[in-house]
Amino acid sequence: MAALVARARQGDGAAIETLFHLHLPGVHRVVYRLVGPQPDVEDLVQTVFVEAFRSLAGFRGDALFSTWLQRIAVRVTMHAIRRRPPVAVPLLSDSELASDVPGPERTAAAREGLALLDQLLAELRPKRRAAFVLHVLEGHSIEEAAAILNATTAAVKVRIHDARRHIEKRIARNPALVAALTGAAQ
Amino acid sequence: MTMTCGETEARLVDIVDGRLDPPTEMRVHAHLEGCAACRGKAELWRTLLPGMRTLAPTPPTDLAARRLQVDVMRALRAPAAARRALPRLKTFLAGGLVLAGAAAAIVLWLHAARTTTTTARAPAPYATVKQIAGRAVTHGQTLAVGAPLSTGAEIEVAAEAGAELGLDRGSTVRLAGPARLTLAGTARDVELRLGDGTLEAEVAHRLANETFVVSTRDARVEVRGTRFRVTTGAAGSTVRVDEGIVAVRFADGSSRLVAAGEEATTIVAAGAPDGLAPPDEAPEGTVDGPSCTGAARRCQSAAREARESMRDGDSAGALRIVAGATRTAHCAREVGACADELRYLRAEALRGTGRIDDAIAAYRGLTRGPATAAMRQNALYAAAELERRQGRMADARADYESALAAAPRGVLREEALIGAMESAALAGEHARAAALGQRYLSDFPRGRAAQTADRLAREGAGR
Repeated sequence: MAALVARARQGDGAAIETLFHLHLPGVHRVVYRLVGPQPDVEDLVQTVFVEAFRSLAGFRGDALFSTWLQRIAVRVTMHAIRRRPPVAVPLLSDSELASDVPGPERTAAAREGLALLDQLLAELRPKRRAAFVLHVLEGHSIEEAAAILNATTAAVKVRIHDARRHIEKRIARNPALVAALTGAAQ
Repeated sequence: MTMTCGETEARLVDIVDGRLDPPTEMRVHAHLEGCAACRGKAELWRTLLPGMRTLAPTPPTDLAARRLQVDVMRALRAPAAARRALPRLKTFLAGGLVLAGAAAAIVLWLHAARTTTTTARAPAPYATVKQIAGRAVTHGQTLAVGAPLSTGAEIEVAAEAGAELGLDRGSTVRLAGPARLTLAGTARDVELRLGDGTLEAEVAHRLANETFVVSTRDARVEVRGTRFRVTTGAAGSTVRVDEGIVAVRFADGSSRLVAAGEEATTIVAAGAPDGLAPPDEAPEGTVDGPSCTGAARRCQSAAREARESMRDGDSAGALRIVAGATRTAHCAREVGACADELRYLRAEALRGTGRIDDAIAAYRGLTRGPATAAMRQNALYAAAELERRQGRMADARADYESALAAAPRGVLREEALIGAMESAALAGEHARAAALGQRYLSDFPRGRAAQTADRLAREGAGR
């Protein structure tokens, strides 16, 4: 990977394309989890890669390339979120959930589970959402998440705690959420 | 020392991920043994985490990834393109360049100074006059090179005259007279209102939260980074795209994506495409559908639903939506290019449902209709990719080459050439592979497949 990045820094088009294809799924997933099913997800992904490749000279190799790229993805996405007008988030109603219990088809369960997760994430404030996504969903340690978010570990712990509490409360109110969120994996 | 509930909760995810060091893990477990509340939460997240992590969006398809790659690479080259924009006015204006005189500059400077002193809260300029050929005025004052232009500026360019404006972020706009243009929006959200005449824009890459819009009385063109031309007049508007892709929204609420080499117009033209739904999927008895009123909207709506279905991974659902779209052969003029879009979506949906041979046939079928060059190229390229995966290398080579021929300057040009070259080699068509290799080296001497092309060209020469 280091050799690939070094070649990309020197303007090697093939290396840039390889890096793009290697990291596209990861960047796409993080951006999606931060903004949800919005029409500009691909635009944001494009912006992330353009900014990353333009600032490759600034990549010193202290962190993994993927972590550095995720830092740019979070920055670009959070910047876009801040400039957006606030959107009212429809809360999940209990009756809605009762009818949303996944059916036998695996893809349908995954789709419904993803829609529920999208809605739960949309209920979180952006900073809490970002911390939750990086630590809980993407599996980064608190320290890695803090480095990506350019925040202190204490601040990240508080954000994750608040996000987790919010989701626990929603589950306490409607236990059917657990089955809906885990249906695809079972 | 035992842990508190707060300390334990902070490590819930680390517990599940097995990220704790042994001493901490022992302390956590000691706490969990004696605390039912924390034990319950640990159990909850142990159940939730694996499921939640699998709930990820579908990654971009191969084709979408390639398109994104093309966009990224183009954006990386954008500043250089914007720097090259200046000399283009020469070719844009048949009459050549005439620089505005010093007197005009002074008049404009005085006007600008007056405006600055009397309107302290005037918006910041986001455009500058770069070149003038002939007569151009703003608010009755002659336009001069170097003059800054803000939101609200109205520019009139006389017949046979032209003006080139440089916009913040490296974009360039050229006006061919007679034309009227009003600047609206801001540097981040540019809106150019074209009253009459022709406007050519070369838009440098816009960030995700930035917009660039050219609007006429009956159309609205939205872009991110591309090169296109808009002409408007009493008869309607025409949008022609030279590079990239733009979204055109029409006055009736419909919209259409226009790619390089394509044209969209609000001017009603004779000779419209055939029926909308593919024959084998169309419901019977709807050939003489009711009224054509709203046919375009219905078609757009079906296309949108099908796209959403595809995005959700439900190709079978998308196929049903496309098949259920009312057949409207008698509404061809109203439906327009949307029919081709539905045909393309059908091919994509067939591929998604695993009906590969049907998908290949559907992609190829698009080349027999009135589809645009860019769409034909996309379709043939997609067919070739499928054939290649099936090991039908000769067919793949032929379709890659057809994709090249469909749009010689299309965005998939390099990809199609590489595909053709490699498929020819794998099919044992060595002379063809060598010829394609030479063509690749000629078109893309520093392309990513230059080494392969060189090898194939040399191998061909050695046989």
